[in-house]
Amino acid sequence: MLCPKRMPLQVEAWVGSIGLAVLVLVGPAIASAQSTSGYVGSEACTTCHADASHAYDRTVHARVLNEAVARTERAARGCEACHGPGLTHVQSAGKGEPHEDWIAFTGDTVGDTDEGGLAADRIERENAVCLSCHDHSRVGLWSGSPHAMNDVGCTTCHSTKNPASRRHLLTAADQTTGCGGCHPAARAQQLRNRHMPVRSGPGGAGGEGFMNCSSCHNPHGTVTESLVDANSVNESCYECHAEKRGPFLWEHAPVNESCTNCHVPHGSIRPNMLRVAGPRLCQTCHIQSLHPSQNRGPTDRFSVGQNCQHCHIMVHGSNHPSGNFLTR
Amino acid sequence: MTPPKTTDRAVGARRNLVLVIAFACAVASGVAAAPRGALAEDDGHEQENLADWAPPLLVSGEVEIGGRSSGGDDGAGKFREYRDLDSGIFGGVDLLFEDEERRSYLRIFGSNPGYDDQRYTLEAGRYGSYSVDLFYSELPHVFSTSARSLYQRPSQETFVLPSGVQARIAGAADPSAQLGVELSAAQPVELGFRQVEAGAGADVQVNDSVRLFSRYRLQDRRGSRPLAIQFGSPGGTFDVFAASIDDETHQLEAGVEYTEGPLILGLEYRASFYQNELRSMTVDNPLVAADTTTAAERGRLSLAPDNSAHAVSAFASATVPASFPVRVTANLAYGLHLQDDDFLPNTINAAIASPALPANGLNGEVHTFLANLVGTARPLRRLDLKTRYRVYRYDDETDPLRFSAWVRNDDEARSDAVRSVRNDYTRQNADVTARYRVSKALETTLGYELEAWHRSDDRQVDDLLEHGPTFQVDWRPHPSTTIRTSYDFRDREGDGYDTLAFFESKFDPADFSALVASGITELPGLRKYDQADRRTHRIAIGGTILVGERTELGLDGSWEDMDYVDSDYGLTGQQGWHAGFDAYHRLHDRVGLGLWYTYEEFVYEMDSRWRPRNFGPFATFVDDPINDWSNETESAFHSLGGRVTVEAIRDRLDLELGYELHLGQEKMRDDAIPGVATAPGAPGNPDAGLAFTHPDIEESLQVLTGSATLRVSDRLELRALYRYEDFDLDDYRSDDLGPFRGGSDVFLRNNVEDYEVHIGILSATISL
Repeated sequence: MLCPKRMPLQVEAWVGSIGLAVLVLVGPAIASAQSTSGYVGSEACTTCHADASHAYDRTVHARVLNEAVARTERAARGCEACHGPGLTHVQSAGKGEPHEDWIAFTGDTVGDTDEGGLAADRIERENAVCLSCHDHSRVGLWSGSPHAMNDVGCTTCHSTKNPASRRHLLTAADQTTGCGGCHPAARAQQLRNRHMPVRSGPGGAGGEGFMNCSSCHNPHGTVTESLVDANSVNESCYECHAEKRGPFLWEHAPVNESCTNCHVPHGSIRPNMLRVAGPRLCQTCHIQSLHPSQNRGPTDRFSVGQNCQHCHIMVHGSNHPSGNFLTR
Repeated sequence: MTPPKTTDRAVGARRNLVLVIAFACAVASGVAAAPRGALAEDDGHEQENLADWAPPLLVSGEVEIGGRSSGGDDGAGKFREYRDLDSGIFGGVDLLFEDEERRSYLRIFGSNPGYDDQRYTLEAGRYGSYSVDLFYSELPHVFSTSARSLYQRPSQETFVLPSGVQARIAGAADPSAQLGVELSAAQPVELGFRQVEAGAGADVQVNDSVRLFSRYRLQDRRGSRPLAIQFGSPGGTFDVFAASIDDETHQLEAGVEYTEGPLILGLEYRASFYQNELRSMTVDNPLVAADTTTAAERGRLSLAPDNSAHAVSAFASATVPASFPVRVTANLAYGLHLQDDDFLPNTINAAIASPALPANGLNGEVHTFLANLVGTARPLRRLDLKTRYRVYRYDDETDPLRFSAWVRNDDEARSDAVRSVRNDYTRQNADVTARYRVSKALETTLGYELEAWHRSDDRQVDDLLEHGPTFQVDWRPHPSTTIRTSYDFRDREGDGYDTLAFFESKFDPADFSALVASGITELPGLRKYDQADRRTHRIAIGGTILVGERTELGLDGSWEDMDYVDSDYGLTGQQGWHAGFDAYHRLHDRVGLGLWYTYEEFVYEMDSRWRPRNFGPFATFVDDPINDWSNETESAFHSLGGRVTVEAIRDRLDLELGYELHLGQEKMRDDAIPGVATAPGAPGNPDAGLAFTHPDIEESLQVLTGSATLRVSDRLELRALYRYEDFDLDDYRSDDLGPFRGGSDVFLRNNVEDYEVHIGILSATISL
C-alpha cells in the first residue's frame, strides 16, 4: 500500500474548481456543436481534464483510442470509448444526473439507484468496459475467478491515466509491490533468504526483478488453484525447471502430483525452499526399517548439509538403471 | 567450474565502452528525432539543417547513466545471488520511437548493460494491429562463494582427485585422518550458474475478430551446483562436489483467438524441449584406490535426461442467452511428455559385470488431460452464482521395466529384481458458490468445494475425497471501508491405506513376500501426509479502512489448523497463522508515510519410530513402540517495511527514505526415545536415547535506502541513492561444513555467507 505518488490535495482542489468553472462556461457551447448521440469528443474532455490528458497521452490507450488510427467506431471516440457519452456530464458541468451509459471510473456509485448503490454493481460496470476490448483468452476466465468474486475491479490494479509502472498500466510501481498490497504475507515471504528473484527495486540499484508475480500467476483467472497460470502447478514450475519434468525411469510419486508437496514457492528459511527442513521433511513420509529413522542430533552426518540428499540425490527422479533408490 | 564473472579490467572496459556507445546512440537518436518544434525553439537554423535528414519520428522515454560504488562484503555469494551490483558505470534506456501520427512504434529497453544481470527488449509494431518483440536477459544465480573442493575437472562430466590421493588414503593406517590431510588442500570453487534467456514473439490482430500470436523462448544455463554421490551401503561415504550445469530449454507457443461479441474462442499449441548437454557425472571415491566387487574407485550419476512436452489447448467462453447474465467458459487441454534417452550401464565398476539392461531407454510417454468448466450467473441483482468443475489426469503410459539384476552405488551387485513403477492419477475439483448482497453494507458468500483424487495401485490410497463448506462475510460500513472474514472447513478421507502398495508394485511376488515376512517395510501406522485423512479449519480476515482523506489502513490475517486424524506416525498436525497491517498516511500534501508489518508462525508436528537393526541378517531388526519419538518444528517471521517520501522543493526535489527488516527463526525439538531397544549385537549409536533441542536457525535482513531526486529541468533529473543491506544467517546445518569434518564424508563448505554492504549511486536521467 505504499501508494504511488499522488497529486497534492490542494492541486486537486484547484484543478477541480477551475475545471468546473470552464465546464459551466464552455460546456453548453461544446455540446451544441456535437452530435445528438451524446458524444462530445475528447477535446471537450481535455478542456477541464488537462492534467489527466497529459498523463494519458503517454499510454498505449491514447494511441489506440483516437480517430486517426481507430479500427472501430468506438475506438475513434477517444475518452468516451471508455467513459461513455459525455454530453450530459458536460452540460451539467460535471455535477448533474449523468447519462445512463456514463462511467466515471472514480469509485463512486454514479448511476445506481437506491435499490442498489452496490460496490459490486459499479465494479461490474467498469470491468465490463475494459473487458469489451480486452476480451482475449488471458482474461477469458475472469468471470468467476477469485478476484472477480471478491469485487476486485480492473482499476484496483490498473490505471489508464496515471500508471505508476512502466508496463501494463499498474497502479503500483511493480507487480511485487502492487500484489503485496492485498497479499502481504506473500510479499513478506520473498524477504526470506531462500526466494525466487522477485524482489523489487530500481534497476541496477539493488532490486532483482527477474521474475514477478505474473511469472507464475495470472490474476485474471486460470484453470488451476491459486491462480497459477498453467494447466497444473507442476506444469508452471516446469516452465523454468524442465529438467524435473521427466518421465524418469524411477519416479518419486509425490513429485509428479505437486511440487508444493515439498516446496513453498514464495520463500523459505530452509534450503531449496523446502516446506520443512530435512531430514524431517523426508521422515514424515518414510519410516522404513532398513533406513535410519531415528531422531539424529544436530551434528549428525545425516542431519547436516543436504542430509537425506547426500545419498538420495535424485529425489525428483532418476534415469539410471540402478537408481531405484534415487541414489544414482 | 566457476561461472563466468565479468569483473576483470578488460571486461570492465568493454562494459563501459558498450555503455558509452549505447548512451551516445540513444541521445543522438533522441535529439535527431525530437519534434521539430522543440528544436525550433532553441535554434531555427539548426532545426532547418536537422530537418533535412532527421526521420519523422517522435521520441519519448528516458536514458539513465550513472556511477555505482559498493563497499563491504559485496563479494559474498548471497549478496550476488540474483544480481550484479559491481562498482562502475551503469545505465539504462527506455525509449519509444513513434511515427508522427503515432500509429507505429519502436521501443528499446535496456537495463544494467554489460553486467551479469543485463536485460534488453526490442519491440516494434503498429498500435492495435501487430507487434513483434525480441528479448535477451541474463541472470546470475550464485549459491556460494565459500566452497572448497579437492576435485579436478578434466571434463564437465568427470571429477577426479589429484594423483595419488586415493592411494594414500587407502593405504593409510587411519584413512579418515588422511582424508582430512588431503582435503586441507581443497581449492576455492564458486557455486552458481548464469542463466540466459532470449526469445521473440509476434502478435497480429488480423481483423476485429481474429488474433494470431506466437512466441519462442530459449533458456540456457551454465555453471555448477552442489551435488552428492554415495558410495557403499547406507552409512557409507558421501562426497559433495561442484557438479557442472550445461543445459537449455526451448519453448515454443503459437495460437489463434477469435472473438465476436460475447464469444471468445482460442486454440493454442505449446512445445518445450529440454536438452541436457551433460549426461552423467563420474566422481572419484576418495577412500578406494581400485575397483573391487565390494568397493568402487569411482561412481557415476545419471543426470536429468532430455525430454519434451507438447500441449494443445482449446478455450471457449460465451454469454448464454437468458433472462439474466449467464456466462460459461470451458477449457480443454491435452499434453504429451516424452523421454527416451539412452540408459547408462548399471555400473562403471570394472570388477563387477554390468548386468544386461531390459531396454536401451525408457521410451517414456505421459499423457495429460485437462477439462475445466466454469459457469457464472446473476439470476437476481443481489445474487451471484458460480459453479466449476475441473479434471486433470496424469496418465503414464510408459511400459514398466523389470531389472532382474542391478548394482547398488557401483559397489554391490544385486539380484533382487525391481520394477520401474509408473504413477497415474486423476484429480477432480468441483465447487458451487452463491454470493448474496444483503444490503449495501453486507454481502455473504456460501460455497461448497470438493476435491477427489484417484491414484494408481502403487500409491497407498487409491481414492481420496476432500470436501467442505466455505462461508464469507463482507461488511462495508462505509463506501471506502471493507472488512472481509471467511471460514473454511475441509474433511479429507481415503478409502483405506495400504502401507505396502508401493513395495508390492516394485518387487516380484516372491521377493515381496520375503520382504513382508521380514518386516522390512514402512511402519504400518505411518500415513504419508499427501494421502492421510485430514480435517482442516481455516479462518481469514482482511480489510481496508480509510480514515479521513489522509490515512489508509489495510489489515490482513489468517489462522489454519490441519489435523491428520488417523496418522499415528508421520505428519500428525500443522498449524499456521499470520497477521499484519499496511498503512499509508499523508502527513502533509508534500509528505507521505507508509508502514507495513507482517508476523507469520508455523508449527509442524510429527511422530516417528527408530527401527534399528543389526547390519547382519534382516531378521534381527527391532520394531518396538518403545523406540517412538516425536518432533516439533516451529518457525516464526517478522517482516516490516516503512517509507517516507518528501517533496522538499515543489516540482524540483524529492527525498525518499525506505527501510525493510526481516527476522526469521526456526526451532526444532525432538523428544527423547523413552527406552532404547537395539538389535542384539547392534553397535551403539551415540545419539540413541537422547532428546535434542536443535540450535535455532535464524535469519535477518535489513535494507535501508535513501534517495534524493533533483529535477534540474523537464528533461534532466539527477539522482543520488544510498543503499545499505545487512544479511545474517545462522544455520548449523551448513555453517562451516567441511570440506572435512571427520569420518569418511566430503563436503563443500558451501555455506550461505553473511554480508554487510553499502552501495552509493549517482545517476542522471534524461527524459525525451
